[in-house]
Amino acid sequence: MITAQIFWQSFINGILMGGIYALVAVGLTLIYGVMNIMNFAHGEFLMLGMYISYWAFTLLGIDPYLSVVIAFLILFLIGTLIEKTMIEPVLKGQPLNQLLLTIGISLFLSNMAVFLWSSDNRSLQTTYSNTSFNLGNIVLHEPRLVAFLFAVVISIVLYIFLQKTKIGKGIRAASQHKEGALLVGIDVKKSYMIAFGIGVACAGIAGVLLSPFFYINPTVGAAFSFTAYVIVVLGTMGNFVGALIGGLIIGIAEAIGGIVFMPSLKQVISFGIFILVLLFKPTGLFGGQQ
Amino acid sequence: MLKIQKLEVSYGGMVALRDVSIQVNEGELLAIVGSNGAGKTTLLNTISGLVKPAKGTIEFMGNRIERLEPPAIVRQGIVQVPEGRKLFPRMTVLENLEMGAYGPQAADKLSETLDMVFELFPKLKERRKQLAGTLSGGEQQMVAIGRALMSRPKLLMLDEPTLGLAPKMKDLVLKTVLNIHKKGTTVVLIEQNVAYSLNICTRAYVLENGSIVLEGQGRDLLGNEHVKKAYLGL
Amino acid sequence: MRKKWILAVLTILLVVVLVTASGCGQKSSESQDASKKISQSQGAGKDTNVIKIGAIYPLSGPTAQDGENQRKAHELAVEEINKAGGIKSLGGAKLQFVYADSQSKPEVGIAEAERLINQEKVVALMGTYESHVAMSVSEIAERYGIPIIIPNALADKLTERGLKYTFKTVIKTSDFGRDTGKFVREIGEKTGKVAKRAAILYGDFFFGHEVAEGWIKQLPQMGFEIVANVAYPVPATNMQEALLKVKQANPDVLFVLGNISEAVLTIKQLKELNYWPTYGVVGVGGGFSNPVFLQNTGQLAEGLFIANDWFPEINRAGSKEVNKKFKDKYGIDMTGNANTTYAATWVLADALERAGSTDGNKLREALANTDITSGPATFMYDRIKFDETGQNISAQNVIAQVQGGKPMVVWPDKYKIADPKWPVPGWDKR
Repeated sequence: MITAQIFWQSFINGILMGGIYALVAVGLTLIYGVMNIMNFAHGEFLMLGMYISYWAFTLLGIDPYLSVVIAFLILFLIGTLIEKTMIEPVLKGQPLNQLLLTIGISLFLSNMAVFLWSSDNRSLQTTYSNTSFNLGNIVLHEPRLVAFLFAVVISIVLYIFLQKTKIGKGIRAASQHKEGALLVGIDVKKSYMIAFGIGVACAGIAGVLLSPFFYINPTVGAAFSFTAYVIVVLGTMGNFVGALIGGLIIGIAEAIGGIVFMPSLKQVISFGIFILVLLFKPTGLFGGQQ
Repeated sequence: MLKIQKLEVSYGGMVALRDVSIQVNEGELLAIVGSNGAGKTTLLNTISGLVKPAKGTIEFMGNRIERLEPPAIVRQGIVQVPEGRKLFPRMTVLENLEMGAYGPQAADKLSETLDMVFELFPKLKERRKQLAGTLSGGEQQMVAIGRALMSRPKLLMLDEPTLGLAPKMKDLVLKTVLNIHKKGTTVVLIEQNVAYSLNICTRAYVLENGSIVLEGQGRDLLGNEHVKKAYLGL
Repeated sequence: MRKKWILAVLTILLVVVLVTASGCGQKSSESQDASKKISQSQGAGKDTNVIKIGAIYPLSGPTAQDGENQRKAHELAVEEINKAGGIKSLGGAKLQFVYADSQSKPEVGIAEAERLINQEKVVALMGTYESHVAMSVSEIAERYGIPIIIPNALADKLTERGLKYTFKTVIKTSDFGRDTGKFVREIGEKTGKVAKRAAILYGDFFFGHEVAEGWIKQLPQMGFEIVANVAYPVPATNMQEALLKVKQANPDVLFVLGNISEAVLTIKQLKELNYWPTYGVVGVGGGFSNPVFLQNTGQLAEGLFIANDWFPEINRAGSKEVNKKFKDKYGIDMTGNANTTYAATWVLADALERAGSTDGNKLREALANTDITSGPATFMYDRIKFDETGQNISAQNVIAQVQGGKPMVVWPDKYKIADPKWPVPGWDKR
């Protein structure tokens, strides 16, 4: 019933969207893996990234792809500040306090956005916002392709950073054994700050990459954060590679499921995967490696 | 070298250490003896900065360190091989050792120190690319000791390094500790085999219910009636 | 020590959030208070002869802005009615609106309705923007024998319950199906480009399904075959799956309902997928008629048809003037039902004039006999006359086409300000 053309178009769409999902989830899983807290304000940092891109383009004429760097720096700074002043004090406290805190930050950020920029939808109109080209009979939308490639490259760079650099290794050590890390002289508090800053900056970059072809409003983050939580659990909480693969799986499942069944059911599909994973492999797809 | 005076530590209202005064002299191999829950691990963790004392002072080579954070204390030259090893399980042996040299001074001498550790534990060289979490208990203990040595410590503290190891492995680990001491590192040792540790140490303290009850030369303590009864089962 | 820190941080955060949130809300309630004082002093200053009308709207929460727009529309009409001498048959009595906040909750709406009737002694109710609140509030009006005029809530059910005191001036939800279908059929017959295969696309929420029901019921009766019936999730991160499902069915025309975010994504992603139905796309719902939609889509929206009951660019007597007055006073176009609310305020004035009484029964009688064909009340619809259910028989949508970046009314003929372009060419032929 579904033609091959529609199927492959959906498949490609799913992979491209999955790349963005993965980048959002990578930041979330990094924060969880290192600090053992779920950042419920993650989607709002994506939203901030979108606005940074929007204003940089509208006021200063800066191309969104250059804004990636600006957004990274700004959100890294905001992230480390928030970590230092708000999250660090509650890390030793009850999990409930941490939950309330990150939800509070999320409410604060979206209300702040309404206050500063109103709740109206905005769109960036770049010259390439709507350009696409054909690959056989499949249409490839350029900004999505670029966003996907950026997401993959940024994820790889981040992976190398964590694997090869001294700070990256320190962050991994702190995530695997906090006391052990303290006892070899790693500044664990600093590692947390950096990890949180990088984690939210990833969400912000995803927002920048979406900005040329998505709408922007203060609550746009919520739509992405739900998917990101599913991906993080699917790919094993705290597992970097798991988040990447989980992002692609959910992207493809939503796209194919959406045309086979009904688009309104696509979140049911990702939620179904989520429940199956919880039932049969509660530690996620990569739980064995933990 | 290390001078602790009237140290008091409590956890949530429970006093874990009371009025503890200890001195470690340069070049010593100091043993700390006591039953489970006497406060030995708390004492090491307080020195390392993981636990902050309620009262008292800790002085290391003339500097007060009791308010410093753990990384700063490592930089002063005090390193602990913690009970349970506390390795980074999903990092390789080599990465674990590299983490030991995280501080700036140690990082400069990284490859030199690494050669030294590999010489001490040839097995680790073989397994350097293996994940630490997949090693046997004895091998993990080698990594833990090796990791501590990587920071070029002036004072090395070991907390139950032979716990849960096979007899052969125990011997090897203790022999290595003696070896390290012989090469000039000051050592504080907590060891479940009280007879053995009193035999090899230069001096020892006996810790009971958070207080020091005895101190002296290892051999003197071996002859002490209380020690004989309580720790040597004689 | 730690715990105190945590508490301190949480408290500060909470305070900041509350201040920010209430900061937004406060403005509207302040201005509301201010306007209340104005209308009170106007009434009290000249005469004690004042007729109180209760108006219930969401004045806080996510739809507060919409509620606020309705209030503005009432105030503009009241100002004009009172300036023109008030209700002459009642000795020039002045109208005074008393506003209450429903918080978008039916139970709050009920409590406020009872308060307005019992304490404020209002003689009629108006409101409530949201259908689920209107359902409950109209029951209260019925129980007290006080007429309620609903100019801004669309649900079909509102006038299908046999209530005697409920009058609805605005269109029904199912009229979207009727009017969009009628338009596409008529333009097909006129141009010879007859659209037969229809796709419907709507959000998976209550209003979405209501509109879809209208299409499913009425399109086949008008000769359409529904070849794709697609619901998308709300909020949507992606409309591509939905649009590919539409594409797969290869329809002649796509009928699509959307809130602002989904409306924007639909148009952008049709372009991304380089897909356009054979003849065109008809958008329905607040999303497409919101001016923000065109700011967000720019060139892409060119040629799109949009159904709504009113547009600023329409050829209807008095329309431009009323919009200008509103825009001069408040700085925004009179969209989002502010227009029907304004018109219905005049309908109430007309009924009061004819009733010559504020008695609930007599006022109901006068409303039931309403038949207005000119004046400010008809700037939306040709005629105001209620059928036996209380529904305005002439309420209908008009269709605009985005031409030169503006929605220009193209149907029905008598209101058109521009000629429709049909079929609308695909992306590569523009």
